Amino acid sequence: MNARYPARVGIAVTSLVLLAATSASAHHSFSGQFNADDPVSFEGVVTRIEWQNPHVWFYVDAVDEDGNVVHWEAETTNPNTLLRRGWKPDDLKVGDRVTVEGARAFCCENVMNARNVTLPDGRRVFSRDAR
Amino acid sequence: MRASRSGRRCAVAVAAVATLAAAAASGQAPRQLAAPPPADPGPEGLPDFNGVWAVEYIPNVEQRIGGPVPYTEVGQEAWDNRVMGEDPTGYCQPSGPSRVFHTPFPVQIIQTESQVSFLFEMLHMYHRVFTDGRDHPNPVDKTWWGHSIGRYEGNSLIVDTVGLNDRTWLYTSGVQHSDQLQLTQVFEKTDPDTIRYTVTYDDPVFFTEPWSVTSEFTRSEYDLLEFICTENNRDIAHFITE
Repeated sequence: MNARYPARVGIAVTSLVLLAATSASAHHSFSGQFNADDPVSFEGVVTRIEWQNPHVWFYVDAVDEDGNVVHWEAETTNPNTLLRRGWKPDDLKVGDRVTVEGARAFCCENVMNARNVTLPDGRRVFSRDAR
Repeated sequence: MRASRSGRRCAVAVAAVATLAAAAASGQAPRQLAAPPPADPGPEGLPDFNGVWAVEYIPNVEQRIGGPVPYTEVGQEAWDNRVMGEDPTGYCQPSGPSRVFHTPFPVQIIQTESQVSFLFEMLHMYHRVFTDGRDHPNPVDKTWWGHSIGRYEGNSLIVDTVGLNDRTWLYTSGVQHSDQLQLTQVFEKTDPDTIRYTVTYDDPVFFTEPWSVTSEFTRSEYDLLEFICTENNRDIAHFITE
């Protein structure tokens, strides 16, 4: 999958650095892992949530256009930061149907950074702004 | 016989790894917030820094200072060739005594007459500044956090740090430095609930001149939370380092 990673990305452009800054909660640079120029979105059902440091990860089964189940691994912000923004661990639950938007990882086809996680009623879980 | 022993060792190793994985998976980050503990009054006659403080997150210092860092040729080459997947804190390595004040995570300051101690939520780290009049050791070891001594002037604590290794990044954007870096950090108590913080970076190998960044600390609404970086650092498997 490294073919997804063009050599030129070794030197990050300013926009990527800016995105890194706002997305990664200081633990790591965004562009060391995710490609801001490779957006992705999908709809599916949450199968697991890891409320752990340094980042919250959640897992979603989505069905692709060929009818195959795709297992997505999605990183979001640091759990301590989410708490201080007013979010609780159970604001996202196993079984929830979600629409996820974000950027794909360089390394792997089904790993991504989740910028927006939206529930069917339109609520955006784990967003930057507290509820 | 030898093959059999070897196989058993392997099985034991696999079991150990499986146990470790299970333990890691069961760990949880904090799930609730608390108010900070009451701040004890600091030593008499000194500006009082005791308390839990929210700091300003500055990942991209170039944006903050309105232009590039004043790099020497060596520093510029390091900047141009930086690899974003090699950010040390991404691997749970220490931030060092500078970057830690420009993260999204609060800091507790515990002040006595002879020492100022910083407890950092970021990666669950601490740092000590000696204010008892001692000097730096000579020679000084090159370490992640260096050796810090402080003195008071008016409403300010002025901290001088040497003995830093060259393994940290100063900012998430990828600002690196040599082991000749000397930090000067000024903590000025501008009112009961505010500290003006100015850090100056002096590194003749990486920077053509000393340069500074100023930010503000305010009283934190919440106490420090546990932050165990190795709890579930799945990022390591994803970093691009080529």
